Amino acid sequence: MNNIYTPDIMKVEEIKQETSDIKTFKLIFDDKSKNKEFTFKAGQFCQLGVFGEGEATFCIASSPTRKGYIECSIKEVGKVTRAFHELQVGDTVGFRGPYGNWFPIDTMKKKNIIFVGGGIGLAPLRSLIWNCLDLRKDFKDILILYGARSISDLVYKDELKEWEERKDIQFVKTVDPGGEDKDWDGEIGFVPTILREIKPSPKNAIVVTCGPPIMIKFSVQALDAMGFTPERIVTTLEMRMKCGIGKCGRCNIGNLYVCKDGPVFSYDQLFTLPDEY
Amino acid sequence: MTEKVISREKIQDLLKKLGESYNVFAPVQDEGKVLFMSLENSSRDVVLEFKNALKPPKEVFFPQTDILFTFMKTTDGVRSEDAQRKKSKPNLIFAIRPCDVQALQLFDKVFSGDYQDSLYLERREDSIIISMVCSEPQETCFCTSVGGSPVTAEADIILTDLGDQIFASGLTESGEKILEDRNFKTATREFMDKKKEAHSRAEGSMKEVFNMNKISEIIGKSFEKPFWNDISRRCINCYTCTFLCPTCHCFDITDVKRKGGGERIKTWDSCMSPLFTLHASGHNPRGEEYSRWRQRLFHKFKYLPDNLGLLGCVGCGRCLDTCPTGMDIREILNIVISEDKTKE
Repeated sequence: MNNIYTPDIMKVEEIKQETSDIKTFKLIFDDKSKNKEFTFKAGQFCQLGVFGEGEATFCIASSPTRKGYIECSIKEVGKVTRAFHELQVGDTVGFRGPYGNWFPIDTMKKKNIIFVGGGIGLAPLRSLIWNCLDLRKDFKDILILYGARSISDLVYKDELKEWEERKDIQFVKTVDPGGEDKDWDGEIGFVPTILREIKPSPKNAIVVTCGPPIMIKFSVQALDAMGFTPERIVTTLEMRMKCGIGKCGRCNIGNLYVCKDGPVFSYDQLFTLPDEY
Repeated sequence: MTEKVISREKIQDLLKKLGESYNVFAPVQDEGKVLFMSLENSSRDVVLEFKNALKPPKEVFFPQTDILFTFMKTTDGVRSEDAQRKKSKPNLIFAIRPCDVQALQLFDKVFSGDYQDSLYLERREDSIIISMVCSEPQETCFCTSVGGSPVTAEADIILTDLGDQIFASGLTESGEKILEDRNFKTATREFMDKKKEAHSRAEGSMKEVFNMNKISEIIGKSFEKPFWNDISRRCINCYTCTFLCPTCHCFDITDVKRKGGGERIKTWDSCMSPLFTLHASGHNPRGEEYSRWRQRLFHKFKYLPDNLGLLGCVGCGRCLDTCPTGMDIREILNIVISEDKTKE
């Protein structure tokens, strides 16, 4: 019987410094055949570990349409993430996954898609954004609203530029008041405020959001006021996890396990769950 | 069903023989406490005169620390290797109490399903469970209040202590095969009557401490109730209740670094610890004592029944027996139940 806790060995192919404390790691499987076989869906997560330091939970931030590698963006906040930040290209990590459910990309087809992201919360959205952009004709209008505390806290800066230049999507970037500098050409204001200003139509639209809890809370209120029904607002939740497969007992909200029943939830589901996340 | 008796003095001989085919875990005295230990490396005498072991024998299948795999640094990175799990013989637990057997049903469900935990399942595979009727349940026992019984178990064999003789009922094919050993004699009518008497005495001594009827539903309605704060105030976060609970199975995964490599281990963890759910960001969904107590009861009486169809409590009473501040899950459940009635 296979040991479900044994990770696949992956090598660090590339490291990109996103902000002062966030790095994106491009990873490839040591077993070359696995690179071809491996599939996942946007929204799924993995348990990544540095041997000797431990494992932690990260969303897969690259798109499933980009095959042969995965990317994870990791903020340095604790023991395991610190170990990640000390890694060099060519170093070894352990990978378990993909785990959890995914964004409802099939039901999003032929609809207007609105992405609302904040800070490092863009990481899981990025997987889905590129997934949608790589299959652009399957979707109607695409709006990406992304904000961070300050310019230096914005992640994926090169890609933001790319999205900004694309004619087939609407891209709005913002920083919290005080987070701008004199050259800043984006919006200034909190994400929910800018969202109210843009006032996207709820007609045939689905919102996918991820970011700090406070941003999500006020964005959902704004969306509600605009007439978005809860089942049209989708988010992905964070929770401390160990196993990732519904056994270790810690990531539940009510009787649902974020690792197996989530991490992707729509707001009609979340409204029925106890407020314990 | 095969029904036999074995004389008390032959038990050691039986266990010795069983030890040839099984890794036998049996209750032994350890510094005044009764614990289940492998007889392979212990010369201690097996004790049958015990109420229940301090620790449930869950660790036979779910050790307190379990090496998931080892890893070593190599010239081109790191290599991981499944830990050598020596299992020359299947495990056998002798004289496990019916409540602890019931808990294994839950473990079987948790560690199987769509992700099969090979560490647990390989230890559990071909294992033999020989249960022992509780002739004299303790004050703290409440198995009958959570759907259990002191005299029945989903085991291979169930034993009833009749003094000089131990009555043995074979409940499965593997159990009956063990009863073919010549230490066992056919049970006469006299012994059958004595066994029946012992069983009804044991059952009669059990009081229903709360009404389990609709417990999941009642608990389910109590999430927002204000009493959780009062109820949990005495808790000092020692985690004893969860570590000694036969159904508690939550675990942590951490790395141990050694020279040139190390190992990744799975260890018992506790939902009563604030660290259990603490996010790296500092946010904690269950940072407050009352929310952890509520989680523990909800997990046992609501979430597990909802998700796996089994209660996460078998009424062994260890949590209330060992709680340093005397917190009693029976009293707390009764508060939940009575508060529910108050509302109506």
